[in-house]
Amino acid sequence: MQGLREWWMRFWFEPAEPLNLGLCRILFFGAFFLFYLGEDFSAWGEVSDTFWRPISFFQTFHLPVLSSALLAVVQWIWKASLLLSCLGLLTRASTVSFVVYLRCVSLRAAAQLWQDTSL
Amino acid sequence: MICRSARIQESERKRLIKAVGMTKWRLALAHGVIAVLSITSLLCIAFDKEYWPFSPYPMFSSVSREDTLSALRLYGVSQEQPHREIPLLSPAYIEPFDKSRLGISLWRMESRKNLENRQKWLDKALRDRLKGYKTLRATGRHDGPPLQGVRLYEERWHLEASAQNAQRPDHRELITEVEQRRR
Repeated sequence: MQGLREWWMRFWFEPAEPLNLGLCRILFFGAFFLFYLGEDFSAWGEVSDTFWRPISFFQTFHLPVLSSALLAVVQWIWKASLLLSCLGLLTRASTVSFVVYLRCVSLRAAAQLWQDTSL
Repeated sequence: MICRSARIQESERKRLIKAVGMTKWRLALAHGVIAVLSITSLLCIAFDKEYWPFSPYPMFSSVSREDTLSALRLYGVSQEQPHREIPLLSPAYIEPFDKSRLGISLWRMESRKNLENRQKWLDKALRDRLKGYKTLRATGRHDGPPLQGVRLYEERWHLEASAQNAQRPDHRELITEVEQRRR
């Protein structure tokens, strides 16, 4: 049991150099940023509600579809936070934008659920 | 003896916590996050249910044994005479959708059992896409011809290894169509 506990702690929490974490952060947020930079989510605000099939997250929290103007604002906050997280600037504040990130990914998922698939 | 063993375990626990350089509460929080992520993912896989953002990832997990393929396709009907049908496949014509997701979405509506509702939903969806096409055209996102309406077809192909018949479905059936409302 003690061996298992030590393995568990070593696997998840062994102190290590921050290089790997930094590289992962750059790759993860950088790839997301570049992938979504040219994508305009605001167009989903104009799509008919006929296509709207909310995922469980949207149903549970009764999240509405934002207007195009609001979607445009949200997406730029999200993209900016991705870039900041990639660069390691204002990292904590960018982490707070995780909420925005979640919202935007939700929108992405919602968009896909509009199309009936998910992220 | 038991007391001594408990003391050893406690000191071992403290040693491990100290070794990772985190407070007790932070460590507990990290374990909580690991537990929620792992257990919810496993439950979704075990029960084959999707609770966003968790998923059993069903994509490509089934094998089609049939040698035919069916799809719903949207065509625009040009205003100019003689009327031409233009396949609305290019993302520029159907943004923010793409062809496969628009097809899936329409397929879901088309599969509704209540015929009256099905027709209502499909008409509304087609009108929305006609309006979307016109808006994209007006804003210079594409240079397609002006449309007077859209038609939804179910198309069926016999699968060929070379896919040379990709543009020539073997069967074509009109599901519904809408025309631009006259002012």
